[in-house]
Amino acid sequence: MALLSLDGVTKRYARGYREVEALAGVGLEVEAGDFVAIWGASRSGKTTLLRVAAGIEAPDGGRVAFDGHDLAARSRRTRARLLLTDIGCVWQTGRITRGLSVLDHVALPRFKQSSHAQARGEAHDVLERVGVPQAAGARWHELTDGERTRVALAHALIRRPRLLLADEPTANLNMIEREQVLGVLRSVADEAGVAIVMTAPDAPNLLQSHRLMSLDGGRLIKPRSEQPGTLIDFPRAGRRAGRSG
Amino acid sequence: MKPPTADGQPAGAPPVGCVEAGAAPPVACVVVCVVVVVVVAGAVVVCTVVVAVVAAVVIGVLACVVTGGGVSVAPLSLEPLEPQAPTASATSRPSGSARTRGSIWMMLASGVGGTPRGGQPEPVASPTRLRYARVPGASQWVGRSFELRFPVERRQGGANDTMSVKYAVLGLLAQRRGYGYDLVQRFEEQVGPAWQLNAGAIYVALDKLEQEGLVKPLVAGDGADQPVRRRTARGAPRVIYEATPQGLERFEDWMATGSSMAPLREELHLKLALSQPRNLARLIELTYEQEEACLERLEQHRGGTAFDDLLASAQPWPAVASVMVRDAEVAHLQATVHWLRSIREAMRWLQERPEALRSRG
Repeated sequence: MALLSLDGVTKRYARGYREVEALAGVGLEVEAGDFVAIWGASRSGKTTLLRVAAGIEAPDGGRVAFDGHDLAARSRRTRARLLLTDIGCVWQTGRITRGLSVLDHVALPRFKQSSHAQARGEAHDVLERVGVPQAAGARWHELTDGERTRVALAHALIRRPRLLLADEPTANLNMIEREQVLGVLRSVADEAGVAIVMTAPDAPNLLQSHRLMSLDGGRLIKPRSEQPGTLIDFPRAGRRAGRSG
Repeated sequence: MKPPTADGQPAGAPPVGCVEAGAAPPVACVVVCVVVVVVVAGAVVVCTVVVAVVAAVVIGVLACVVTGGGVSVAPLSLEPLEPQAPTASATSRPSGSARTRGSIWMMLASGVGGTPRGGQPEPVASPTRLRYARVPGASQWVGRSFELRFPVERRQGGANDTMSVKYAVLGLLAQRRGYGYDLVQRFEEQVGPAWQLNAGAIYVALDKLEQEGLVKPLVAGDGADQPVRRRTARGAPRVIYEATPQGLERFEDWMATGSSMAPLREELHLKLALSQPRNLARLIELTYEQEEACLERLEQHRGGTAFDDLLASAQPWPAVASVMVRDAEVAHLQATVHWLRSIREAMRWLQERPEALRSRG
């Protein structure tokens, strides 16, 4: 069973006097270990898609299921807990728990399970892995946009989520940093079996993913090989080939 | 008692009756005769006219054919289509005048040119049909303006394409000697899948190069230090080629000269150009389908070495160059998707405001 499945999801917003269709019947299945990249221009509905998938926003129509359970049928409390444990999110507008250093902010989710020193050690590792060890002792306002994105990624990864939703995690990064972040995402998907859905405004970023889709006007456009009627197993086969190469 | 009249009574009654009876048959005869004559004359006239018309038609047709295709050019110039009209009429004229009598007869004999004239009731459809039917596929202006053989050409490559493959083969042989299949593999490896090389083109290129003396075959087995297998799976000897000094020189020349650019020929562009405002809904769907195709092509590049990644790490030049070539297709596909998105947005906008189209004429 797919870890995350969206079926015919629609979402409309009122924008001034006009109604904007942010999602128009999106269907998507993400298995554990899948690295799905969604390519869309601004206003194409990328962020809405991730927010709906995370259960932060309820869809107007259709069904969102995480791990086989309909998110809409679950209580608000359960959904909030899912966001703290199983679903990790990286938003473009990252925020930090007020008053904490970056290191403590990243280590925070681990404080309950392990000792503070251990949690901080883990936080150090994760920050180093995403390429911002220098940010550990800094305060949020001292960080650049690119560093903030990566700190947010570290914050999401340290709880070891089963599903990671990343909204433009490669924004504001230079070429090498971008490769590093994508490499981390890819290895997290391949090694830890985390399902990842990430968005980006341009394609070269996304070629490191296992599956590539495009979003335009709230409509998810999948490659022909993923269309119904073709071999269902094809994306996985392609992924294996991609991994070895 | 009876007064003798001029008619005479005794003979009067019968003659009166005789006269009346005798007068009636001649009148009827005359009427019948007149009718018959008129009918016969009419029939003769009709027949004459028909014969005359048929004769005139036959003579006219023959005259037209003999004088060199005046009739066949006339329907061609009746182009009702708006955007293509100037090009079509402009191009049809030279082809009409250049047409020789022999080719007309050949077309008539093969039944290509004769059929549409009688058989097509629609004035719009028939010139179009004529245009396609009359001019054989080899005609230049069809190739330029409409590109009827588009999918075939794309697969096999135009003249330009074969030239490039020829020099590519020369270049591969300049790197090191090799046989046909080896060259196919090296081409795929170094240039990438985007070219969609037809393996047969390599062999055609080898033949051409050999004819021009730019490459020469080594007899299989004479170079003992060959790293490649010299026999196929079935044991047939492989022909191994190597570049001659002239070939190397030609290759250097080619490398130093500017490169031609392939024309951008997409089937969707034609559909777009030939569409009507009422097709907008379907066209929008077509852009989605095209984007799916683009994504599928992009998927072929997925997981490969990223261009950015490559620059970050030190790599040998051939790998860098090959990734650069692949990146060209990624960039092209990406640009296509951006284009599809923007035209889709424009078409949606027009779909909501049909009056915007009318006001612009």
